[in-house]
Amino acid sequence: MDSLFNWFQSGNMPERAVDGHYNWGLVALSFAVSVLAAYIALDLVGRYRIEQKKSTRYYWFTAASFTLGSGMWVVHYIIMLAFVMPVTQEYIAGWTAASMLAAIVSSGTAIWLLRNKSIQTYQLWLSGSVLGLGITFMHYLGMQSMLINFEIYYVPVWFIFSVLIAFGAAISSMFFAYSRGEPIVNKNRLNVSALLLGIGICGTVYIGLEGTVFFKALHNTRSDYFFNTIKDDQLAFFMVGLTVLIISVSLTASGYYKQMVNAIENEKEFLNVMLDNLEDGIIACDDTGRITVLNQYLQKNMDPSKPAKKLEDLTDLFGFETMDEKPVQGKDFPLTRAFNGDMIHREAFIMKFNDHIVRDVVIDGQQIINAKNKKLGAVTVIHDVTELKKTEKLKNEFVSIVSHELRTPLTSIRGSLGLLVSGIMGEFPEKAKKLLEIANSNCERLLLLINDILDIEKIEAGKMKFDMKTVSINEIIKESIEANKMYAEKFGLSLDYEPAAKDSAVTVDPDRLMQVLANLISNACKFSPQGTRVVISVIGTRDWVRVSVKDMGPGIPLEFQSRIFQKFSQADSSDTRGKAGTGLGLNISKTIIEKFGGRLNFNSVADEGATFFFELPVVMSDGSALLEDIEEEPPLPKKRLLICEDDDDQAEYLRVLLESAGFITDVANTVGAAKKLIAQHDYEALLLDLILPDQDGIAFIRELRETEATASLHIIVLSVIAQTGRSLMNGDALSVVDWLDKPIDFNTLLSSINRVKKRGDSELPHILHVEDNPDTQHVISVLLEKHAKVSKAGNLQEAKEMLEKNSYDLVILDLLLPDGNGTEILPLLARHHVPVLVFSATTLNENYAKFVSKALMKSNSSNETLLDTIKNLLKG
Amino acid sequence: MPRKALENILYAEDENDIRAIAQIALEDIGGFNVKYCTNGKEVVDATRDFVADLLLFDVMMPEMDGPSALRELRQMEHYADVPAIFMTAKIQTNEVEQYKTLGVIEVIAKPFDPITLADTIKKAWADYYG
Repeated sequence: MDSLFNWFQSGNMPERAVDGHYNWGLVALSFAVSVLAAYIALDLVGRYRIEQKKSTRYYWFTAASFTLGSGMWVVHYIIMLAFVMPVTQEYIAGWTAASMLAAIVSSGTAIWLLRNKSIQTYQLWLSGSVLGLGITFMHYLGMQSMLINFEIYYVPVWFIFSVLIAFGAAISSMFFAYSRGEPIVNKNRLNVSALLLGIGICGTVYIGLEGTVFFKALHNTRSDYFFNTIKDDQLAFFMVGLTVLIISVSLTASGYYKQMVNAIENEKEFLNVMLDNLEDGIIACDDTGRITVLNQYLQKNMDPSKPAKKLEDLTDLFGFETMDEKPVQGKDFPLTRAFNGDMIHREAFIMKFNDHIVRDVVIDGQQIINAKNKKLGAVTVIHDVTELKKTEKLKNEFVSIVSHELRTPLTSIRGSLGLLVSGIMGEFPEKAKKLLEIANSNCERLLLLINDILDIEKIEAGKMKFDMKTVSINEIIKESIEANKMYAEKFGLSLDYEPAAKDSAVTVDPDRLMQVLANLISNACKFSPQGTRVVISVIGTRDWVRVSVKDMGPGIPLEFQSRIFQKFSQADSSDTRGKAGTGLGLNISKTIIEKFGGRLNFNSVADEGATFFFELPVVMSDGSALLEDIEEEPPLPKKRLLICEDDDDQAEYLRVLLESAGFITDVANTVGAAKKLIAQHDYEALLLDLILPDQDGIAFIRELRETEATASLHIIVLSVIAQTGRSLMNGDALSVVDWLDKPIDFNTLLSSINRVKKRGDSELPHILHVEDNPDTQHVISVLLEKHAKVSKAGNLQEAKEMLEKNSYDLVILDLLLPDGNGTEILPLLARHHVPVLVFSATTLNENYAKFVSKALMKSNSSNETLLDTIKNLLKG
Repeated sequence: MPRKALENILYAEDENDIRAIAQIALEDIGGFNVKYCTNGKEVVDATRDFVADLLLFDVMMPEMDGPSALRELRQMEHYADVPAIFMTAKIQTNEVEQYKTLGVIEVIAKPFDPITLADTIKKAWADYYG
């Protein structure tokens, strides 16, 4: 209390008071600088508050604190300069710095208190108070710096008054700018706020000065500060520098800001132009239901005089109707639905603008939700499908016209020809009759073509109807052959039927199945050389029946195979002379067979012909009869099976059953015996018990898999612990065809063996590839993946061993091998009568040419050449 | 309704050629008594002096098509119940469904087989009255 009392120097005034006067120009400058600094600072605070990027935020914060702090400090000293006294003014550097620090720190704190988007009232009070305190400290600390030439006395009333002004101005300025809670402060409010703060700063200093009485010091009261004093002209220079700095900060900031605004504007324009150029309509609204996007597609059709500000306004601009023409209103309006959380996915509506523009639209819509799960609004995309619908309608009309207009003349032609051919109108000479028959059958074909086109149309529209019945496959095929006989004869072909020993029942639409057969037979006829046969054969198993139609034509060109089931596809337009077709038949047939739960596919061998086949599920009527079927008609005649089973009775039971089903079987009671037999014979499959006297079955499977020669041997596990075994081999399930529990159901076993056949590669030729380069090995195995089973030998010794054990259909031989030249085993290969393809980087010595079927250089053989060569060699 | 053999057919078809073939199929093969018209208007006129057991109409005809003619006849007392057959090339699924809603007993697709036409009609007739 005493020190404060001393500070005010109350009651003890010396009589040497110095009077000063004001330099009014500098006074004006002080106000200008003050308001300017406050304005720039508040502007920077605004940017600090809206900036998202952390580093930039930091920059705005520093710039704002520095501008406000140093700004008010500069103002203080301008006023000091404006107050002219008859004594030289000097300033103590330490106090000068302290006053500046007070200004900047308080500004920084005050601004930091404003950092949040939403500012509480207490924060405004606090921020304003900190700033007011800062102004006060800045001024009175600044006064302390003058103590060199003066003794200073403060009049308490004026002092209090100055503090009130500082706090009042700062707090009211903060309230004026930020109490509304707007993210960006309105320009006018910002101006007023800056004015308040600027005047407040000046006011504090002027009032403070008014309450200060200066006495000329008798001597340098503070000689200890002598070396650290600043002359007023030095101070002036320093202040000019600071002011320039403030102004450049402000300019940089506004330049940067403008750039940022431009970038945002550009992005906005880009988005708007993009949205406007879309062929689809887009409407979006924010989370309050305010319309934020309404693109050009919609605007161009709308009444421009009506505003579209809120969700509710939209109903005045355009309306939606459901496809059955019921208006969509209120909560059902698509954007409203999306806004309320509905997910709209491709819903069809009729959209009406001003009653006269009507569009068919399909709408997608949903809420817009950001990554933090906050709802930002909703959007609907309106796809205009008017043109699409028109096209579809045109297409339907076209189909209808084709149907009707072609059928009308055909009705006359077919009717006339039918009557003539029937003989009702009397007999014709043989030659004339022949011609009439040709005309009649071609007329029938023309009708078929028209029907094909209509069928495709129906299939695509999902309108094809099936009248499913359970029928005999045999009957249908016989009927079909009868119906197509004439057609085949025209090509000089015979249709031969090789039925299954027992008939199978299938559930199909008989007419549609006849259609498929007619298509396959007519295709076969078209591509068969005259005088050959088209063979229709059936093989059946317990579950499936396969019907094949085989021709002896040129086969299907490789490049066409991938497109064969596509619509309007024909192998080669130059090749189809006289083979007229729509290119639709196979597509239709495949679809029909798939509707019956079956599949349609083909095999083709160049120059030998193509086989198209379809498989249909067999209808189970009587299980025992079906078993008979299989016994009479083995699915895999003459395939060799190995039964590995320690129980003699069970082994014998399996042997009898399987042999009666047409297999050759060997029985091994132990794993050891099985290994010996596997080394001797090529087995179709191994039927394996898991519990064996000398080795555990699972270990045996693993061993077989690790040995290359048996890696792909099919294994069917028959065991009381089959399911346990399956789980033990988990992850390696593919290596075993099936796991069957004992007691064995023989039908299940047969179908498992049958699956071996389907999946198996035993029908593929077996190639031995002698090659030490793993890359080449890999390329060849990938290339031949579908065409052959490839075994690899890395050197001559390995190759020799493998040749002793297995027989191969072809050997592909590299010449440069780690343990010698490939030519060394050529005589051995000749003894095995195996064709040899030398595929090496070096040329083959002519002396060996007689041992070799073909030699290709690695460097100049394409994969195609290689594949073709291999295929030709395999054909022998 | 007393069962009676099918005898008189009222037939409408605008194509001369098709009519000629149908004539053989209906008269020579089927043995029916047939009244021929070339459009729906003629059908309506023909009803004044022809009593048909069965109506056999093409669908697409000038001036008045088959369905319109049938609707017209259904208003007449003595034609309200006469069974009708459409013989048409317009046989897409949706089209056939439409005919069925008009109460036709059969839809015969063009091109038709003249040899079996009479049998087809007789069968439809028998099914209808059976």
